[in-house]
Amino acid sequence: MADAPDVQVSAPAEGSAEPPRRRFVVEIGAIIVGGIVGVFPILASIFPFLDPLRSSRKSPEFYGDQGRDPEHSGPEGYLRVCGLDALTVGAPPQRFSVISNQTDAWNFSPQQPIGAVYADRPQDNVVRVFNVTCPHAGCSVSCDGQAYVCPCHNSSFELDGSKRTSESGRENPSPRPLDQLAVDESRLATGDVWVEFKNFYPGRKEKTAKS
Amino acid sequence: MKDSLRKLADWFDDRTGARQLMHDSLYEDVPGGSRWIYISGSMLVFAFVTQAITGLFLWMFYSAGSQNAWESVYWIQNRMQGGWFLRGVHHYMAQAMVVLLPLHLLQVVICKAYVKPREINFWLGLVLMQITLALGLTGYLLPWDQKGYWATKVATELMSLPPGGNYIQKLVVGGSEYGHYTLTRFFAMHAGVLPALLIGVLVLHVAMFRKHGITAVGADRRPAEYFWPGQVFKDAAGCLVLMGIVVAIVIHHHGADLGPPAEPTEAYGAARPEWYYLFLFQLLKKFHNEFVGAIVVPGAVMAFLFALPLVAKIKYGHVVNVCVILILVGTAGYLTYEAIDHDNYRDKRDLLTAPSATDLERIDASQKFHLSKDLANQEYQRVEQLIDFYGIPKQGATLGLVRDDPEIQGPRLFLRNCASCHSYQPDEQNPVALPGPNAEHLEHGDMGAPNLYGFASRAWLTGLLNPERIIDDDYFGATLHAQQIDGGFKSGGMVEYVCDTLTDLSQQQQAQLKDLIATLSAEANLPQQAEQDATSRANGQLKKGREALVNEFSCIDCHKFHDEGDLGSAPDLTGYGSANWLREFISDPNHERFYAATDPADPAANDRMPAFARFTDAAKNQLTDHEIEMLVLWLRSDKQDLKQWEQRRSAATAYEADPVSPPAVDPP
Repeated sequence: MADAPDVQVSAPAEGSAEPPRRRFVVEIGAIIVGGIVGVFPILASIFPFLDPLRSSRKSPEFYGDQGRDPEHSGPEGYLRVCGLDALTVGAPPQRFSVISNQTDAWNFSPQQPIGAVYADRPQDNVVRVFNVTCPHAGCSVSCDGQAYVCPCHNSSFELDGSKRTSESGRENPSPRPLDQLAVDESRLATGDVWVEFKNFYPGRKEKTAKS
Repeated sequence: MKDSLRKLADWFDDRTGARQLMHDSLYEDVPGGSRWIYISGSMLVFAFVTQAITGLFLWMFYSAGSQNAWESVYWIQNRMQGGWFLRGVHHYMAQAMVVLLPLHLLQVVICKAYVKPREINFWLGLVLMQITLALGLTGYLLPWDQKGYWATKVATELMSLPPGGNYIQKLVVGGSEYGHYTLTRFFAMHAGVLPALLIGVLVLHVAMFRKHGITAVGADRRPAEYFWPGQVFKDAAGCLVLMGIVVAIVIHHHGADLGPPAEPTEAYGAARPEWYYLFLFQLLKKFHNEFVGAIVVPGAVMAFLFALPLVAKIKYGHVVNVCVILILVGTAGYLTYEAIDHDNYRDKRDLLTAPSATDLERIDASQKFHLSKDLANQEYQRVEQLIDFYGIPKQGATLGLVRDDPEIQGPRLFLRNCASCHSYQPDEQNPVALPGPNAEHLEHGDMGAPNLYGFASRAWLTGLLNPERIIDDDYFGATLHAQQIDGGFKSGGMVEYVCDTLTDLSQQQQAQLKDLIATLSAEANLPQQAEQDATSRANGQLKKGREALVNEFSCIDCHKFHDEGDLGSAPDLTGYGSANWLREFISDPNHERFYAATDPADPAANDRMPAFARFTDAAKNQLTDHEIEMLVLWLRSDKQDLKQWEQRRSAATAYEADPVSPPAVDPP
């Protein structure tokens, strides 16, 4: 019966019956073997632990890569937001859910809301779409018709997405304007609003898409 | 550089006393020097540390809850890089602990390390053993697969046996039935309460061991040593060997086994506890009284173990202790062997020259055990297919996939509702190529209705319309349809027709019969036969067959076939064997469309087949619409190939929406 784990620190030799060389070999052996069994549980665990760093997985066969519902999903990551006639020219921005297939670890759910956007139509043939996520710290902005306002740290944005200075002159903490999303022009011409939906890392000056 | 490092070390030591601590742990006296026999304790500590670390990492991916537990474990096992290895190490290292425990105990008892002044430490060791076994028990349930679910269920049911046990059981299970709370509680026990207790008791155990030192037998004959480095090396080497064995087993088995997801309504016939609990399982079988087998006897053994240090005070007490403990370990080993042997008794089938009644019973039980295991494996593979194809929905695999899958539900429903009369066996004389899984257990019932394997396929119909085959048990042989009256078959019935008319056919007639069979079988629209049907449709065989059916063989004298013939005297052949036909037939075989006659002597009467869903009020029906759907899809092998099934389905939807363009593939 003996005690406790593998300790890897060599200590000064003290009164020992063994010849020094043999003792040294045993010491080295104890350190090496102890080290191996010491790191084993970590080694066995590290690969699964790092699994989230792998790139995202594909959808199940039945749903294909893009999803089966042509109403909502299209190629090149464009997703349908709404029909053009849902937006009145000059009206305040409206909030829409973005629908797509959702993979959440082991669960796969087709056609779920995966994010939200604000869309407005300043002119007849112009549609602006913004991701609702605040570029400052990732809260969700809301729109009061005059401006986009973040409820967390007082970021606010003009309807065109640019940073806004409040009337009291309080500093706007956002590092960049609201994240505008690309609208598919050809589909817009046929009366549908499709956007290239992406989420971006908050807190950075440049707009970097999360993968 | 060296100076500043030393300074830093001094600073640290000044505040923590680390050097003294290190010195104390490394330069403990080992009277008689380092020995290999001392390593079992360190190996147990190593195994526990491995369990704690791998367990923490598994925790990062595990989700307790009846719709998530199996699913998250499935993901760890199959989708996460190295997940199977991590889970395998955790699984088999746990078993290694259970193997090391009795070795450690044996060593302590044989070396007489449990007597004064080490009694309390011995008791702490026994407590550690109990905690470890409890960890094994709670961990077995967490994957929420069939075997874990049913095996653990037995353990918690037995908990209710002692007085007040039903309260204990409710607290452990989190209610009277298994569910979310069972998993959250078991998980909290497994990952929180028990490990914390174990660490606490282990610290005391080690501290007390340090106080008393090792029990060195014959130390006076060997030089003393310090713990470092000799014993440390030996301990580490022991751990390395243990690690090697565990890794080899993990790789050999590709991690721990995972069964199909738990299904509370489907008892699992091969429910067994982990192998290290098999001796208790077997012990229970030896007693007619569960209370004695599960509580009294194991309790008495545990009480005796606790009493060992006291018994040792009596003269020859130690010798008695050693003997008893050897007997106990031996008995547990034998019971384990016996349990495994009984489960594999079927292997002795051919070896036993004169099997006794007990042997035959055991062989039968063993065959059932292995059948349940095989079926569970098949189910797991099917669930794998479903997951690959559809993904796992939020309701989880059981609710979202398994309960809606005809390939899993069909055989179960058949066994419960149909197999007392019908069989479902591949017919060697008329082979039908159904790539389905093993259905050997769906054998003929006592009442003998037709074998439904490949029902309505060309091969099946060829048998039906063969005078020699229709009267055997695979078709109408054991039914009233083949009843003999005055030396001949029931006059006016199908059997009489086949036996009288379809014998001694000319070559031309034989060809016509073949066409007829192709036509009738095409009515069923079987997916396995889609290509054959399409070819026959294109080359005009189906048209010729229809001619033969109506004119040459005048089936329409009794049967209705599309616009020809009338209902009332024999089953409708329009859409024969199609999903819709089967659905309606199973719902009510006495319907005008099928066996309408009410007089059992009438050849058009139904022979004992119950109506499974003839009421509009669904609550009165024996089978729900969903269950009938599962049976029908399975009988027709509609959903065996998921990709093909979905293609057929979307083609059917497209055809409904736009009937002008014919479907590219036959709709189901």
